[in-house]
Amino acid sequence: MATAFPDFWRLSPSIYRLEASKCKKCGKIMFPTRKICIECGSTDLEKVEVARKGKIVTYTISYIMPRGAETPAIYAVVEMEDGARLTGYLTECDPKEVKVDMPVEIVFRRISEEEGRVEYGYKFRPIR
Amino acid sequence: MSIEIRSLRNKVAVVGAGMIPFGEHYDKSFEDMLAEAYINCINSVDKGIDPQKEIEAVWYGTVMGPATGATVAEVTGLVGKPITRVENACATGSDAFRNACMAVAAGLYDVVLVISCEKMLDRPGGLIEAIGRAVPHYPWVYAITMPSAFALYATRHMHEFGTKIEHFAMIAVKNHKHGALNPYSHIRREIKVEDVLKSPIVSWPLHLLDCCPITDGAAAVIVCRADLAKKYTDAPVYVQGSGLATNPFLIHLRKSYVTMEPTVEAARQAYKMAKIEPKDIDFAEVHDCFTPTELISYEDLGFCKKGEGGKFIEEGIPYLGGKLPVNPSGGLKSHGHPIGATGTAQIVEIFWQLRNEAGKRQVEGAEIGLQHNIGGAGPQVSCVHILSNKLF
Repeated sequence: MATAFPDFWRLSPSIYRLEASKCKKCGKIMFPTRKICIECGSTDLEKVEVARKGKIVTYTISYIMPRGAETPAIYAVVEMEDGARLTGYLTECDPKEVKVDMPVEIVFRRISEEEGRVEYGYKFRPIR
Repeated sequence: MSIEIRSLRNKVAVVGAGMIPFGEHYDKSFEDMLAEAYINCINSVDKGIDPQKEIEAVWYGTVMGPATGATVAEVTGLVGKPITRVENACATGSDAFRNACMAVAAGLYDVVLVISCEKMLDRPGGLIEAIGRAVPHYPWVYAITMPSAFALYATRHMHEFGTKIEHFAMIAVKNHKHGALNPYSHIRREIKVEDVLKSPIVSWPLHLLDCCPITDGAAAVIVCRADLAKKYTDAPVYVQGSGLATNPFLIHLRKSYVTMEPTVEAARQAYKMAKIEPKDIDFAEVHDCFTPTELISYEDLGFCKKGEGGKFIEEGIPYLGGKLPVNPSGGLKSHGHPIGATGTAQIVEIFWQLRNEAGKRQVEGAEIGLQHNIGGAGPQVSCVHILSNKLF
Protein backbone atom coordinates (compact mmCIF):
# COMPACT_ATOMS: atom_id res chain seq x y z
CA MET A 1 0.00 0.00 0.00
CA ALA A 2 1.56 3.26 -1.08
CA THR A 3 1.63 6.37 1.08
CA ALA A 4 -0.62 9.08 -0.38
CA PHE A 5 0.86 12.40 -1.49
CA PRO A 6 -1.07 14.43 1.12
CA ASP A 7 0.45 12.20 3.83
CA PHE A 8 3.94 13.25 2.69
CA TRP A 9 2.93 16.88 2.53
CA ARG A 10 1.44 16.87 6.03
CA LEU A 11 4.42 15.07 7.55
CA SER A 12 7.12 16.93 5.65
CA PRO A 13 7.96 19.44 8.45
CA SER A 14 8.72 16.50 10.75
CA ILE A 15 10.32 14.15 8.22
CA TYR A 16 12.49 16.81 6.50
CA ARG A 17 13.02 19.44 9.24
CA LEU A 18 12.72 17.13 12.26
CA GLU A 19 10.04 19.28 13.83
CA ALA A 20 8.65 18.01 17.12
CA SER A 21 6.31 19.37 19.80
CA LYS A 22 7.59 20.31 23.25
CA CYS A 23 5.14 20.55 26.14
CA LYS A 24 5.51 23.89 27.92
CA LYS A 25 3.99 22.39 31.05
CA CYS A 26 5.95 19.15 31.55
CA GLY A 27 8.83 19.52 29.06
CA LYS A 28 8.10 16.31 27.13
CA ILE A 29 9.31 16.37 23.50
CA MET A 30 7.19 14.37 21.06
CA PHE A 31 8.02 13.49 17.45
CA PRO A 32 6.28 14.15 15.09
CA THR A 33 4.38 17.33 16.00
CA ARG A 34 0.98 17.11 17.67
CA LYS A 35 -1.67 19.18 19.46
CA ILE A 36 -1.93 17.50 22.88
CA CYS A 37 0.82 16.33 25.27
CA ILE A 38 0.88 12.54 25.55
CA GLU A 39 2.25 12.82 29.09
CA CYS A 40 0.18 15.48 30.90
CA GLY A 41 -2.64 16.26 28.43
CA SER A 42 -1.67 19.93 28.11
CA THR A 43 -2.49 21.77 24.87
CA ASP A 44 0.23 24.36 25.48
CA LEU A 45 2.88 23.01 23.11
CA GLU A 46 5.65 24.68 21.12
CA LYS A 47 7.47 23.60 17.96
CA VAL A 48 11.10 22.55 18.39
CA GLU A 49 13.65 20.78 16.21
CA VAL A 50 14.96 17.57 17.74
CA ALA A 51 18.67 17.15 18.53
CA ARG A 52 20.69 15.57 15.72
CA LYS A 53 22.66 13.13 17.88
CA GLY A 54 21.54 10.33 20.11
CA LYS A 55 21.96 6.73 21.27
CA ILE A 56 20.26 3.49 20.26
CA VAL A 57 17.70 2.32 22.85
CA THR A 58 16.84 -0.90 21.01
CA TYR A 59 17.06 -2.28 17.47
CA THR A 60 16.30 -5.15 15.10
CA ILE A 61 17.83 -6.36 11.84
CA SER A 62 15.09 -7.21 9.36
CA TYR A 63 15.77 -9.73 6.59
CA ILE A 64 12.19 -9.84 5.29
CA MET A 65 10.88 -6.57 3.92
CA PRO A 66 8.07 -5.65 1.52
CA ARG A 67 8.94 -5.58 -2.15
CA GLY A 68 11.45 -2.95 -3.17
CA ALA A 69 13.02 -2.35 0.26
CA GLU A 70 16.68 -3.13 0.94
CA THR A 71 17.67 -6.00 3.25
CA PRO A 72 19.04 -6.41 5.78
CA ALA A 73 17.37 -3.31 7.19
CA ILE A 74 18.51 -2.17 10.62
CA TYR A 75 15.70 -0.41 12.46
CA ALA A 76 16.13 1.31 15.82
CA VAL A 77 14.52 3.35 18.55
CA VAL A 78 16.90 6.23 19.24
CA GLU A 79 16.96 8.63 22.18
CA MET A 80 18.31 12.00 21.08
CA GLU A 81 20.47 14.25 23.25
CA ASP A 82 17.43 16.40 24.12
CA GLY A 83 15.43 13.38 25.34
CA ALA A 84 13.21 13.10 22.25
CA ARG A 85 12.81 9.60 20.86
CA LEU A 86 12.58 8.64 17.20
CA THR A 87 12.33 5.41 15.26
CA GLY A 88 13.97 4.88 11.89
CA TYR A 89 16.42 2.93 9.76
CA LEU A 90 20.20 2.92 10.04
CA THR A 91 22.59 3.63 7.17
CA GLU A 92 26.33 3.09 6.64
CA CYS A 93 26.19 0.46 9.37
CA ASP A 94 27.27 -3.18 9.33
CA PRO A 95 24.64 -5.39 11.02
CA LYS A 96 27.53 -6.87 13.06
CA GLU A 97 28.47 -3.53 14.65
CA VAL A 98 25.03 -2.35 15.80
CA LYS A 99 24.38 -2.49 19.55
CA VAL A 100 22.29 -0.90 22.29
CA ASP A 101 23.69 2.48 23.44
CA MET A 102 25.63 2.97 20.18
CA PRO A 103 25.89 6.72 19.37
CA VAL A 104 24.23 7.73 16.09
CA GLU A 105 23.52 10.94 14.19
CA ILE A 106 20.72 11.90 11.82
CA VAL A 107 21.43 12.12 8.09
CA PHE A 108 19.14 12.84 5.13
CA ARG A 109 18.76 9.85 2.83
CA ARG A 110 16.70 8.16 0.14
CA ILE A 111 14.31 5.88 2.03
CA SER A 112 12.29 3.87 -0.48
CA GLU A 113 10.59 3.87 -3.82
CA GLU A 114 6.93 3.13 -4.32
CA GLU A 115 5.16 3.16 -7.67
CA GLY A 116 8.02 5.13 -9.21
CA ARG A 117 7.95 7.81 -6.53
CA VAL A 118 11.09 8.16 -4.43
CA GLU A 119 10.67 8.82 -0.72
CA TYR A 120 13.33 10.79 1.15
CA GLY A 121 13.75 11.29 4.87
CA TYR A 122 16.05 10.82 7.84
CA LYS A 123 18.18 7.82 8.74
CA PHE A 124 20.61 7.19 11.60
CA ARG A 125 24.34 6.83 10.97
CA PRO A 126 26.83 5.55 13.54
CA ILE A 127 29.11 8.32 14.85
CA ARG A 128 32.69 7.26 14.17
CA MET B 1 -4.12 7.60 35.29
CA SER B 2 -5.35 4.26 36.59
CA ILE B 3 -9.10 3.85 36.32
CA GLU B 4 -11.32 2.61 39.13
CA ILE B 5 -12.42 -0.99 38.65
CA ARG B 6 -16.02 -1.94 39.35
CA SER B 7 -17.44 -5.43 39.17
CA LEU B 8 -19.91 -6.46 36.47
CA ARG B 9 -23.41 -5.51 37.62
CA ASN B 10 -24.86 -8.80 36.36
CA LYS B 11 -22.57 -11.83 36.46
CA VAL B 12 -21.92 -13.30 33.03
CA ALA B 13 -21.37 -16.89 31.88
CA VAL B 14 -20.26 -18.72 28.73
CA VAL B 15 -22.63 -21.61 27.95
CA GLY B 16 -21.51 -22.67 24.49
CA ALA B 17 -18.29 -22.52 22.47
CA GLY B 18 -17.02 -23.80 19.17
CA MET B 19 -14.41 -23.23 16.49
CA ILE B 20 -13.17 -24.78 13.30
CA PRO B 21 -9.76 -26.45 13.07
CA PHE B 22 -7.30 -23.65 12.27
CA GLY B 23 -5.24 -23.97 9.12
CA GLU B 24 -5.07 -23.31 5.41
CA HIS B 25 -8.70 -23.37 4.31
CA TYR B 26 -8.41 -22.57 0.61
CA ASP B 27 -11.47 -24.77 0.10
CA LYS B 28 -13.65 -22.72 2.44
CA SER B 29 -14.98 -19.18 2.03
CA PHE B 30 -15.22 -16.63 4.84
CA GLU B 31 -18.92 -17.49 5.01
CA ASP B 32 -18.21 -21.24 5.17
CA MET B 33 -15.85 -20.75 8.10
CA LEU B 34 -18.32 -18.48 9.93
CA ALA B 35 -21.12 -21.00 9.44
CA GLU B 36 -19.07 -23.97 10.66
CA ALA B 37 -17.84 -22.18 13.79
CA TYR B 38 -21.41 -21.05 14.49
CA ILE B 39 -22.89 -24.55 14.04
CA ASN B 40 -20.18 -26.05 16.29
CA CYS B 41 -20.93 -23.41 18.91
CA ILE B 42 -24.72 -23.94 18.83
CA ASN B 43 -24.27 -27.73 18.96
CA SER B 44 -22.02 -27.41 22.01
CA VAL B 45 -24.86 -26.11 24.20
CA ASP B 46 -25.53 -29.13 26.45
CA LYS B 47 -29.26 -28.59 26.92
CA GLY B 48 -29.78 -27.01 23.50
CA ILE B 49 -30.67 -23.53 22.34
CA ASP B 50 -33.11 -22.12 19.77
CA PRO B 51 -30.82 -19.46 18.27
CA GLN B 52 -33.39 -17.46 16.31
CA LYS B 53 -35.58 -17.24 19.40
CA GLU B 54 -33.02 -16.97 22.18
CA ILE B 55 -29.96 -15.13 20.81
CA GLU B 56 -30.77 -11.44 21.13
CA ALA B 57 -27.67 -9.75 19.77
CA VAL B 58 -24.33 -10.54 18.18
CA TRP B 59 -20.78 -9.17 18.46
CA TYR B 60 -18.79 -9.96 15.34
CA GLY B 61 -15.00 -9.73 15.28
CA THR B 62 -12.89 -9.45 12.14
CA VAL B 63 -9.98 -7.30 11.00
CA MET B 64 -10.08 -7.78 7.24
CA GLY B 65 -13.48 -9.45 6.72
CA PRO B 66 -16.78 -7.90 5.58
CA ALA B 67 -17.39 -4.60 7.36
CA THR B 68 -20.93 -5.02 8.66
CA GLY B 69 -22.84 -7.74 10.46
CA ALA B 70 -24.94 -8.42 7.35
CA THR B 71 -22.69 -11.34 6.42
CA VAL B 72 -23.15 -12.88 9.87
CA ALA B 73 -26.91 -12.30 9.73
CA GLU B 74 -27.14 -14.01 6.36
CA VAL B 75 -24.88 -16.94 7.24
CA THR B 76 -26.42 -17.70 10.65
CA GLY B 77 -30.04 -16.89 9.90
CA LEU B 78 -30.01 -14.32 12.71
CA VAL B 79 -31.37 -11.72 10.28
CA GLY B 80 -32.74 -8.59 11.90
CA LYS B 81 -30.80 -8.95 15.17
CA PRO B 82 -28.43 -6.18 16.25
CA ILE B 83 -24.95 -7.20 15.11
CA THR B 84 -21.99 -5.03 16.07
CA ARG B 85 -18.70 -5.42 14.26
CA VAL B 86 -15.62 -4.99 16.48
CA GLU B 87 -12.10 -4.33 15.18
CA ASN B 88 -9.18 -3.91 17.54
CA ALA B 89 -6.26 -5.37 15.54
CA CYS B 90 -5.14 -8.78 16.83
CA ALA B 91 -7.18 -8.23 20.03
CA THR B 92 -10.42 -8.06 17.99
CA GLY B 93 -11.80 -11.45 19.09
CA SER B 94 -11.24 -10.56 22.76
CA ASP B 95 -12.74 -7.12 22.51
CA ALA B 96 -15.84 -8.51 20.75
CA PHE B 97 -16.20 -10.93 23.69
CA ARG B 98 -15.61 -8.14 26.21
CA ASN B 99 -18.28 -5.92 24.67
CA ALA B 100 -20.77 -8.80 24.54
CA CYS B 101 -20.11 -9.49 28.24
CA MET B 102 -20.59 -5.83 29.12
CA ALA B 103 -23.93 -5.66 27.29
CA VAL B 104 -25.21 -8.70 29.20
CA ALA B 105 -23.78 -7.36 32.46
CA ALA B 106 -25.53 -4.06 31.85
CA GLY B 107 -28.85 -5.89 31.57
CA LEU B 108 -29.52 -4.98 27.96
CA TYR B 109 -29.62 -8.62 26.79
CA ASP B 110 -29.82 -12.06 28.43
CA VAL B 111 -28.23 -14.24 25.72
CA VAL B 112 -25.82 -13.08 23.01
CA LEU B 113 -23.41 -14.53 20.47
CA VAL B 114 -19.78 -13.65 19.86
CA ILE B 115 -18.48 -14.78 16.49
CA SER B 116 -15.09 -14.04 14.94
CA CYS B 117 -13.52 -14.99 11.64
CA GLU B 118 -10.41 -14.21 9.61
CA LYS B 119 -9.42 -15.35 6.16
CA MET B 120 -5.75 -14.54 5.79
CA LEU B 121 -4.46 -16.90 3.14
CA ASP B 122 -6.41 -15.94 0.02
CA ARG B 123 -4.53 -12.65 -0.14
CA PRO B 124 -1.48 -12.47 -2.39
CA GLY B 125 1.69 -11.86 -0.39
CA GLY B 126 0.30 -13.00 2.96
CA LEU B 127 0.55 -10.91 6.09
CA ILE B 128 3.28 -8.49 5.03
CA GLU B 129 1.40 -7.41 1.91
CA ALA B 130 -2.06 -7.60 3.51
CA ILE B 131 -1.34 -5.52 6.58
CA GLY B 132 1.78 -3.96 5.12
CA ARG B 133 3.83 -1.77 7.32
CA ALA B 134 2.43 -1.44 10.80
CA VAL B 135 1.90 2.29 10.15
CA PRO B 136 0.18 2.25 6.76
CA HIS B 137 -0.46 5.97 6.40
CA TYR B 138 3.04 6.95 7.43
CA PRO B 139 5.99 7.00 5.02
CA TRP B 140 8.58 4.22 5.26
CA VAL B 141 10.94 6.55 7.10
CA TYR B 142 9.60 5.19 10.39
CA ALA B 143 7.36 2.35 9.28
CA ILE B 144 8.19 -1.21 10.25
CA THR B 145 7.09 -4.82 9.77
CA MET B 146 5.22 -6.72 12.50
CA PRO B 147 8.09 -9.11 13.38
CA SER B 148 10.43 -6.11 13.62
CA ALA B 149 8.12 -4.30 16.05
CA PHE B 150 8.22 -7.21 18.48
CA ALA B 151 11.92 -7.86 17.86
CA LEU B 152 12.63 -4.38 19.31
CA TYR B 153 11.25 -5.59 22.65
CA ALA B 154 13.24 -8.83 22.43
CA THR B 155 16.54 -7.00 21.85
CA ARG B 156 16.05 -4.64 24.78
CA HIS B 157 14.97 -7.49 27.07
CA MET B 158 18.14 -9.39 26.16
CA HIS B 159 20.19 -6.25 26.84
CA GLU B 160 18.68 -5.49 30.25
CA PHE B 161 18.18 -8.97 31.67
CA GLY B 162 20.55 -11.26 29.81
CA THR B 163 17.65 -13.12 28.20
CA LYS B 164 18.95 -15.45 25.48
CA ILE B 165 17.74 -16.29 22.01
CA GLU B 166 17.45 -19.87 23.30
CA HIS B 167 14.81 -18.73 25.82
CA PHE B 168 12.62 -17.50 22.97
CA ALA B 169 13.23 -20.77 21.11
CA MET B 170 12.16 -22.77 24.19
CA ILE B 171 8.77 -21.06 24.06
CA ALA B 172 8.33 -22.12 20.43
CA VAL B 173 9.30 -25.69 21.38
CA LYS B 174 6.77 -25.75 24.24
CA ASN B 175 3.91 -24.37 22.17
CA HIS B 176 4.55 -26.79 19.31
CA LYS B 177 4.61 -29.66 21.84
CA HIS B 178 1.22 -28.55 23.20
CA GLY B 179 -0.19 -27.78 19.76
CA ALA B 180 0.73 -31.24 18.48
CA LEU B 181 -1.83 -32.57 20.99
CA ASN B 182 -4.58 -30.25 19.73
CA PRO B 183 -6.72 -31.46 16.81
CA TYR B 184 -7.66 -27.80 16.15
CA SER B 185 -4.02 -26.72 15.62
CA HIS B 186 -2.68 -25.38 12.36
CA ILE B 187 0.82 -26.81 12.90
CA ARG B 188 0.78 -30.17 14.68
CA ARG B 189 4.46 -30.95 14.77
CA GLU B 190 7.04 -30.93 17.54
CA ILE B 191 10.26 -28.99 17.07
CA LYS B 192 13.58 -28.69 18.92
CA VAL B 193 15.51 -25.61 20.04
CA GLU B 194 18.07 -26.28 17.26
CA ASP B 195 15.29 -26.23 14.65
CA VAL B 196 14.32 -22.72 15.75
CA LEU B 197 17.92 -21.49 15.77
CA LYS B 198 18.60 -23.02 12.35
CA SER B 199 15.48 -21.49 10.77
CA PRO B 200 15.99 -18.31 8.72
CA ILE B 201 16.25 -15.01 10.59
CA VAL B 202 13.14 -12.91 9.93
CA SER B 203 14.02 -9.91 12.06
CA TRP B 204 16.92 -10.45 14.46
CA PRO B 205 16.69 -11.78 17.15
CA LEU B 206 13.58 -13.52 15.76
CA HIS B 207 13.92 -16.65 13.65
CA LEU B 208 11.15 -17.96 11.40
CA LEU B 209 10.11 -20.50 14.05
CA ASP B 210 9.73 -17.70 16.62
CA CYS B 211 6.88 -16.34 14.48
CA CYS B 212 3.28 -17.56 14.39
CA PRO B 213 1.97 -18.88 11.08
CA ILE B 214 -0.55 -17.18 8.80
CA THR B 215 -3.82 -18.96 9.43
CA ASP B 216 -7.49 -19.10 8.47
CA GLY B 217 -9.88 -19.59 11.36
CA ALA B 218 -13.20 -18.87 13.02
CA ALA B 219 -14.59 -19.25 16.54
CA ALA B 220 -17.82 -18.50 18.40
CA VAL B 221 -19.15 -18.45 21.97
CA ILE B 222 -22.52 -17.88 23.60
CA VAL B 223 -22.59 -15.48 26.53
CA CYS B 224 -25.55 -15.22 28.91
CA ARG B 225 -26.59 -13.92 32.31
CA ALA B 226 -24.99 -16.17 34.94
CA ASP B 227 -28.32 -16.75 36.70
CA LEU B 228 -29.75 -18.17 33.46
CA ALA B 229 -26.75 -20.34 32.63
CA LYS B 230 -28.07 -23.58 34.14
CA LYS B 231 -30.93 -23.48 31.62
CA TYR B 232 -28.31 -24.22 28.96
CA THR B 233 -25.72 -26.34 30.76
CA ASP B 234 -24.83 -27.80 34.14
CA ALA B 235 -21.23 -26.76 33.54
CA PRO B 236 -21.14 -23.05 32.66
CA VAL B 237 -17.93 -21.07 32.63
CA TYR B 238 -18.07 -17.73 34.43
CA VAL B 239 -16.46 -14.46 33.38
CA GLN B 240 -14.83 -13.13 36.55
CA GLY B 241 -12.66 -10.31 35.22
CA SER B 242 -12.08 -8.25 32.11
CA GLY B 243 -9.50 -5.59 31.31
CA LEU B 244 -8.45 -3.55 28.29
CA ALA B 245 -5.67 -0.98 27.95
CA THR B 246 -3.78 0.95 25.28
CA ASN B 247 -0.30 2.25 24.37
CA PRO B 248 0.70 5.19 22.18
CA PHE B 249 0.54 4.15 18.50
CA LEU B 250 4.11 5.13 17.68
CA ILE B 251 6.68 2.78 19.18
CA HIS B 252 9.15 5.54 20.04
CA LEU B 253 6.58 7.28 22.22
CA ARG B 254 6.26 4.30 24.57
CA LYS B 255 7.89 4.29 27.98
CA SER B 256 9.43 0.84 27.95
CA TYR B 257 10.67 -1.88 25.60
CA VAL B 258 10.94 -4.56 28.28
CA THR B 259 7.40 -4.14 29.61
CA MET B 260 4.26 -4.20 27.50
CA GLU B 261 2.40 -1.64 29.55
CA PRO B 262 -1.13 -2.27 28.20
CA THR B 263 -0.81 -5.87 29.43
CA VAL B 264 0.18 -4.77 32.94
CA GLU B 265 -2.81 -2.42 33.06
CA ALA B 266 -5.35 -4.81 31.47
CA ALA B 267 -4.22 -7.53 33.88
CA ARG B 268 -4.53 -5.16 36.85
CA GLN B 269 -8.12 -4.40 35.83
CA ALA B 270 -9.00 -8.07 35.32
CA TYR B 271 -7.39 -9.31 38.56
CA LYS B 272 -9.05 -6.52 40.53
CA MET B 273 -12.47 -7.24 39.01
CA ALA B 274 -12.08 -10.97 39.73
CA LYS B 275 -10.66 -10.22 43.20
CA ILE B 276 -7.84 -12.70 42.68
CA GLU B 277 -4.07 -12.61 42.24
CA PRO B 278 -1.72 -14.10 39.64
CA LYS B 279 -0.91 -17.00 41.99
CA ASP B 280 -4.59 -18.11 41.79
CA ILE B 281 -4.39 -18.75 38.02
CA ASP B 282 -4.30 -22.47 37.07
CA PHE B 283 -3.43 -22.00 33.38
CA ALA B 284 -3.36 -19.27 30.76
CA GLU B 285 -3.81 -18.70 27.05
CA VAL B 286 -1.22 -16.00 26.33
CA HIS B 287 -0.59 -14.01 23.15
CA ASP B 288 2.52 -15.49 21.48
CA CYS B 289 2.46 -13.90 18.02
CA PHE B 290 6.24 -13.95 18.39
CA THR B 291 7.95 -15.88 21.18
CA PRO B 292 9.33 -12.80 23.04
CA THR B 293 5.74 -11.59 23.45
CA GLU B 294 4.95 -14.66 25.56
CA LEU B 295 8.19 -14.35 27.54
CA ILE B 296 7.58 -10.70 28.40
CA SER B 297 3.90 -11.45 29.14
CA TYR B 298 4.88 -14.00 31.86
CA GLU B 299 6.30 -10.98 33.66
CA ASP B 300 3.61 -8.44 32.76
CA LEU B 301 0.79 -10.80 33.83
CA GLY B 302 2.50 -11.26 37.20
CA PHE B 303 3.43 -14.93 36.74
CA CYS B 304 7.06 -14.08 37.56
CA LYS B 305 9.17 -11.00 38.36
CA LYS B 306 10.31 -8.52 35.68
CA GLY B 307 13.37 -9.90 33.96
CA GLU B 308 12.73 -13.52 34.98
CA GLY B 309 10.73 -14.64 31.93
CA GLY B 310 13.73 -16.57 30.64
CA LYS B 311 14.09 -18.45 33.92
CA PHE B 312 10.33 -19.13 33.95
CA ILE B 313 10.45 -21.08 30.66
CA GLU B 314 13.86 -22.63 31.45
CA GLU B 315 12.40 -24.18 34.61
CA GLY B 316 9.51 -25.70 32.65
CA ILE B 317 6.83 -23.89 34.67
CA PRO B 318 4.60 -23.04 31.65
CA TYR B 319 4.62 -26.62 30.24
CA LEU B 320 1.58 -28.91 30.49
CA GLY B 321 2.25 -30.72 33.77
CA GLY B 322 4.23 -27.70 35.03
CA LYS B 323 3.14 -25.36 37.83
CA LEU B 324 1.40 -22.90 35.50
CA PRO B 325 0.70 -24.26 32.01
CA VAL B 326 0.69 -21.51 29.39
CA ASN B 327 -0.91 -22.06 25.99
CA PRO B 328 -2.09 -25.65 26.38
CA SER B 329 -3.81 -25.09 22.99
CA GLY B 330 -0.44 -24.55 21.31
CA GLY B 331 -0.94 -20.80 21.32
CA LEU B 332 -0.83 -18.55 18.29
CA LYS B 333 2.49 -20.22 17.45
CA SER B 334 1.08 -23.68 16.81
CA HIS B 335 -2.71 -23.48 17.10
CA GLY B 336 -2.57 -20.45 14.79
CA HIS B 337 -3.34 -16.75 14.64
CA PRO B 338 -6.24 -15.81 12.33
CA ILE B 339 -5.98 -12.32 13.75
CA GLY B 340 -9.60 -11.30 14.37
CA ALA B 341 -10.63 -14.81 15.46
CA THR B 342 -7.72 -15.48 17.82
CA GLY B 343 -9.14 -13.93 21.01
CA THR B 344 -12.48 -15.70 20.67
CA ALA B 345 -10.67 -19.00 20.04
CA GLN B 346 -8.66 -18.48 23.25
CA ILE B 347 -11.98 -18.15 25.13
CA VAL B 348 -13.17 -21.39 23.47
CA GLU B 349 -10.00 -23.20 24.62
CA ILE B 350 -10.48 -21.90 28.18
CA PHE B 351 -14.14 -23.03 28.08
CA TRP B 352 -13.03 -26.53 27.09
CA GLN B 353 -10.25 -26.65 29.67
CA LEU B 354 -12.52 -25.50 32.51
CA ARG B 355 -15.07 -28.18 31.56
CA ASN B 356 -12.40 -30.91 31.38
CA GLU B 357 -13.03 -31.36 27.63
CA ALA B 358 -9.53 -30.63 26.30
CA GLY B 359 -8.47 -34.24 25.72
CA LYS B 360 -4.73 -34.94 25.60
CA ARG B 361 -3.85 -31.33 26.36
CA GLN B 362 -6.14 -31.10 29.43
CA VAL B 363 -4.73 -29.10 32.36
CA GLU B 364 -5.40 -31.30 35.40
CA GLY B 365 -7.87 -29.79 37.86
CA ALA B 366 -8.13 -26.45 36.05
CA GLU B 367 -10.55 -24.11 37.84
CA ILE B 368 -9.36 -20.62 36.90
CA GLY B 369 -8.00 -19.67 33.46
CA LEU B 370 -6.55 -16.39 32.17
CA GLN B 371 -6.85 -15.20 28.59
CA HIS B 372 -4.45 -12.59 27.19
CA ASN B 373 -4.61 -11.12 23.70
CA ILE B 374 -2.76 -8.09 22.37
CA GLY B 375 -3.16 -6.10 19.19
CA GLY B 376 -1.01 -3.92 16.96
CA ALA B 377 2.71 -3.51 16.57
CA GLY B 378 4.42 -4.33 19.84
CA PRO B 379 1.43 -3.93 21.44
CA GLN B 380 -0.93 -1.02 20.85
CA VAL B 381 -3.67 -2.65 22.90
CA SER B 382 -3.98 -5.52 25.35
CA CYS B 383 -7.03 -7.42 26.59
CA VAL B 384 -7.19 -9.81 29.57
CA HIS B 385 -10.05 -12.01 30.79
CA ILE B 386 -10.28 -14.28 33.81
CA LEU B 387 -12.73 -17.18 33.67
CA SER B 388 -13.63 -19.92 36.16
CA ASN B 389 -15.82 -22.99 36.43
CA LYS B 390 -17.17 -21.91 39.82
CA LEU B 391 -18.94 -18.65 40.52
CA PHE B 392 -17.05 -16.48 43.05
